Amino acid sequence: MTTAELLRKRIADRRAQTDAPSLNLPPVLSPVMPPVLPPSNHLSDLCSSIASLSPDQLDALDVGVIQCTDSGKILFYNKAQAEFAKRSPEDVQGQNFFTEVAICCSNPLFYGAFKRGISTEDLDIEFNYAFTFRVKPTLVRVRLYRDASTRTNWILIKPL
Amino acid sequence: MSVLSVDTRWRSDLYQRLRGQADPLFVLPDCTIPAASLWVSVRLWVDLFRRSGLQPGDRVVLATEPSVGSLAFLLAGLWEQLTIAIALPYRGVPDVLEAFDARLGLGCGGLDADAPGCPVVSQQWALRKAIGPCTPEARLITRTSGTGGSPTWVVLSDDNIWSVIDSHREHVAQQGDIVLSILPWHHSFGLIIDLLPALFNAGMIIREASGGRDPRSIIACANHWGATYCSMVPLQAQRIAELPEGLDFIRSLRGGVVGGAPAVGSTVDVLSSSRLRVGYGQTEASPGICLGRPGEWTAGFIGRPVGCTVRIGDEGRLLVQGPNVCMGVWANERVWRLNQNRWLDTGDVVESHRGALTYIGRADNNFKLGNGRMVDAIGIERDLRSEIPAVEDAMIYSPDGETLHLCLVFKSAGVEPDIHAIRRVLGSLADRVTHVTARLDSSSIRTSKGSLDRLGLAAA
Repeated sequence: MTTAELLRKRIADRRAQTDAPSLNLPPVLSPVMPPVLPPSNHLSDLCSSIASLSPDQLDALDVGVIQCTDSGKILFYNKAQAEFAKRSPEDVQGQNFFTEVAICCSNPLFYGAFKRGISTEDLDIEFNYAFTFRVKPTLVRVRLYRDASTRTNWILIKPL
Repeated sequence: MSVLSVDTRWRSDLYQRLRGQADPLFVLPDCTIPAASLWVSVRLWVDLFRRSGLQPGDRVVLATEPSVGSLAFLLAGLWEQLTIAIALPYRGVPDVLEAFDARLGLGCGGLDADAPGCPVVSQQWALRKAIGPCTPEARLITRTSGTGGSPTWVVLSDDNIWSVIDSHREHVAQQGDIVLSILPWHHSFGLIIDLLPALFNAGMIIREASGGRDPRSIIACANHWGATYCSMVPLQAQRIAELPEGLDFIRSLRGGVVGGAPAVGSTVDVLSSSRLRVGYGQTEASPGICLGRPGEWTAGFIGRPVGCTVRIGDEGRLLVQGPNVCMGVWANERVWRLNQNRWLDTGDVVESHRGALTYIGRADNNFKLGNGRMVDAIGIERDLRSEIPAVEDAMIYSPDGETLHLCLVFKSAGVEPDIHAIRRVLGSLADRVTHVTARLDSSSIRTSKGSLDRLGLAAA
């Protein structure tokens, strides 16, 4: 059987499964945003202890740290992140990270992964992203993490 | 359609679409970047252009593969009303700036971009002084595929580009679509029919890592991101469909335009079982002339006119008139303006049935096979006449876009075709020849005007 004949047979099979009218097709795939990168050691080590660190200890890190509620309301914003983003922690405290502070993160990759992780109680994903820090886009490594024991959510941001 | 003049549309539309926005999100092999961050990269390029003293109509060259940097450079050039020569085929050619009399170029002379698209200027970089005048009405200079002969550098105005974006907008990527980009960005099809509408409409734009060359990579990328929209050429569709999971991928897409070459054979069956639509055009028409409906496919079908007027001229040639017809050409280091109201001769012979057009072939002697390969019929026919002394005349044509028929006119009766000589002339195309016809009268393959009657013989 030639390639063309094989293809025609496959098309006929698919059509027989799904339709009579030619465009009664299977539904469009729903978006899936799996982890883009394997976790980095540095951020993994941090995740394992982050919920037990004091505010001073979090402020001493060279990684941007944001703690937020399940809806994205900011509970803590460390000094490194404030320096990266040129925002004061006092200003952003209580605001929604995705809709008020970092609107550029409110897309299927970033916010979608956060929401899915919250709904499944399994938020632990890492990917690269281009943030705008100091009026210049900068590549960063992002880790979204939910600490199961304390039920707290963390966004870790490390410039690359 | 916006009521803004085209002079301000790039600025208003790019500002609204990118500044402070989370989407579209661009996922390129080297960087994932939301609209808001891309916007800042664009502004950094605008700043560089202004610091360099560039004025509207100054020419710049874009000679890099798809990247955030090339996208930011392009959008900044549109913002500043520069004339952008999309010159990737000339990448690495030392005098590419001279070829377009350009002031600067991305990927030329030490000017580059980092992963998030910001300008990177080396110490060796210097602004070039242009010799000729600015060309403020010319927005893009882009190369034809060479279907009708040697490639031409076509000049497109803002009117040209926007006319196609506007007329095609409701038929291409829509809000929320996850667009898989597998067409080259330096071709007008990939740029104006696919990338720019996606930028203004879609939720995400994913640039596939192999640039559309590897069907396995295309399918893996589409499944990874949940692509809903993908435009392609027929050969890509064919190669994707031949893989076990490829047909399901094509049938899962919400939309996409398939163009660049006529679809024939089993590709037509594949596409008619999908939601993809045919798109037809030429770079000289910015490059949108016709679109079909989703899943509307027959061999050679090229759709119905969109945003322009067409008529069928002598010998069945398709003529196009409208705002999509290019404002001019770039040759001898200057823009040659053409009459905007002219009828553009596509050189393609078509048939019309109640406004639906079907591609028959090229009016000139070269034609494309279904896989996009050009057949240099003139050269082949000339070589057959010269290499085989017994042959007086020769004609090669394709009745279906896949196989080739050869008609040889011999000087005298009783001569057998020299198969080895024919194979030598045809090279790898010889494997596509399914019929060889021998004749004795040259007039039987020529029109009364003396030109080869390729269509007449194909019809017979």
